[in-house]
Amino acid sequence: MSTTQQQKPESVVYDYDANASYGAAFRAGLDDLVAGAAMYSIWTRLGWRDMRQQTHRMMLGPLWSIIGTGIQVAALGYVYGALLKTAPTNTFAFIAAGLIIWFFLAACILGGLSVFLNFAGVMKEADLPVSLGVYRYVFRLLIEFAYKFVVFIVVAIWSGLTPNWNTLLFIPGMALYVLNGVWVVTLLGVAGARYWDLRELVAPLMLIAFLATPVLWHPEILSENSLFATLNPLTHYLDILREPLLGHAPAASSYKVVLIMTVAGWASALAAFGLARNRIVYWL
Amino acid sequence: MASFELHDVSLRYPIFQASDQSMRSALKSAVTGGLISRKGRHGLEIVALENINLTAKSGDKIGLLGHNGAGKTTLLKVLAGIYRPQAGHIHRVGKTVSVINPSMGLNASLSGSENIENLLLLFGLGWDEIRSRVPEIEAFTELGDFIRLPVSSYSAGMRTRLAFAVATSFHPEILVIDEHLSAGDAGFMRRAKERMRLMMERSSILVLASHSLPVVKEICNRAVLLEHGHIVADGAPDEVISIYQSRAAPASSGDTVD
Repeated sequence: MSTTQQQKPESVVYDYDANASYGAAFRAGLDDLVAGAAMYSIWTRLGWRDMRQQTHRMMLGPLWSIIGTGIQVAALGYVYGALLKTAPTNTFAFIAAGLIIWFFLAACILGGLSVFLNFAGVMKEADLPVSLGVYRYVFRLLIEFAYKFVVFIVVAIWSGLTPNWNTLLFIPGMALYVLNGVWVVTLLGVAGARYWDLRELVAPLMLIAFLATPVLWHPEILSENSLFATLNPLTHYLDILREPLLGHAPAASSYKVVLIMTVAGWASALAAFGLARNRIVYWL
Repeated sequence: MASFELHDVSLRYPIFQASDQSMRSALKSAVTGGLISRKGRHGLEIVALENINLTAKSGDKIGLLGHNGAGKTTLLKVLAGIYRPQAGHIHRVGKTVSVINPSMGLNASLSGSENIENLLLLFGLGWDEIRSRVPEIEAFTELGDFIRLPVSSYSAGMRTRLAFAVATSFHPEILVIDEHLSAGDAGFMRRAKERMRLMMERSSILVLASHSLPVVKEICNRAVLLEHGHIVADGAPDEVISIYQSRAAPASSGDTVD
């Protein structure tokens, strides 16, 4: 199955052959992802609208995103600071960074599963790149992340955390997050559209993942069991973004794991998207 | 020069949730509709189109006739590129716009104007072009100050007006349109018909799915009759309409043929 859409000066050609090879379908999937990305003026606006629409009837609007995170950080910081004897230094900054980053990771996974289901109304009406729904969702998550990030800045100032050179590693970390967010949402979007049960299965698993990932606790407290945390890829994702925020350099092994995941993830997302691109609309 | 060619296009809708039993009973009671096959890899499938061969060149104004479930809307969506069929080859040249169920894209919590912008964004227009088009579309809806209110406060007729005004503001080379678009009160209907006629006349190829034979006779210079996903007649509107009527009469399918 393949599709090519070419923009010529005067005419628009649409050519589709159901008997095309998988290689052609793979390229068509790639074309879809590129064409979708190029329509940034559309997905950035729709992403903003999604964010605003969620809170349009609230007096404080998107500020709730900040307030809610603030309350969580205050409560969990207080409880865990008292609970864990080996509380990390700067407990509040540690927990604020962890929770905000976890929000993004969990939303990519859980929201990714329903990204095409939420885009079904458009997909059944207009011939647009399917990937548009992916970019729109990831962009929306970035906006929400930025709102929540205010909480971290406040906590960091309050606890006297000063930026240093390591803080700059936040920038490549964020770039890796965007790059990974797109493949995660694409791959899980395909899987979630085909197998609707996945959403019900993954929702409770995310709670387990939350507890199993060092968001609230420091991996060091598991001294002899730290293999458990090391095998969890989410630990490494958390590491490459949280450590710079706290002024430390992430472990080289964390970058290695994330880079391997990026390459493997993109390969599988592209393979799945090539298979599914022309069928997704039938699954919704 | 706009044109399209469909070669041996077959399309099946997989049905994931239905059990065999319930579908079998539905099959027994079905008077009209597509064919249901159980041969599919995933179990049940509905055969919506089978071995469709259809070509059109500039100047063709095609009226698509057939019962409910004969495959008209599916064929429109295949022409528009929305559904990619499991078999066949499609080659289409020319900017194409499909107007099938535009109110599906409406978002109840956004205002009328925001919805207009959203729909235009999804039709793939750039922001500058959207800005320039919005005033004309808003004026055509005649919704007045309601245009600033959320669509959730609109009546059904007002929603249809909004969706209709956006959907008919395009002037593509190939227009693929479902005729069931009806829009509110008598005064608006008159203006709506005029606007739709203008849109159809300006397109160089028109494919119109319709149950209204007078509309097909008036606008189209060619008609195609679909039955159970097959093309059973293709030719001058008068001939195809008489075949359609002769086939519809004994079936007493409940379709209104006016």
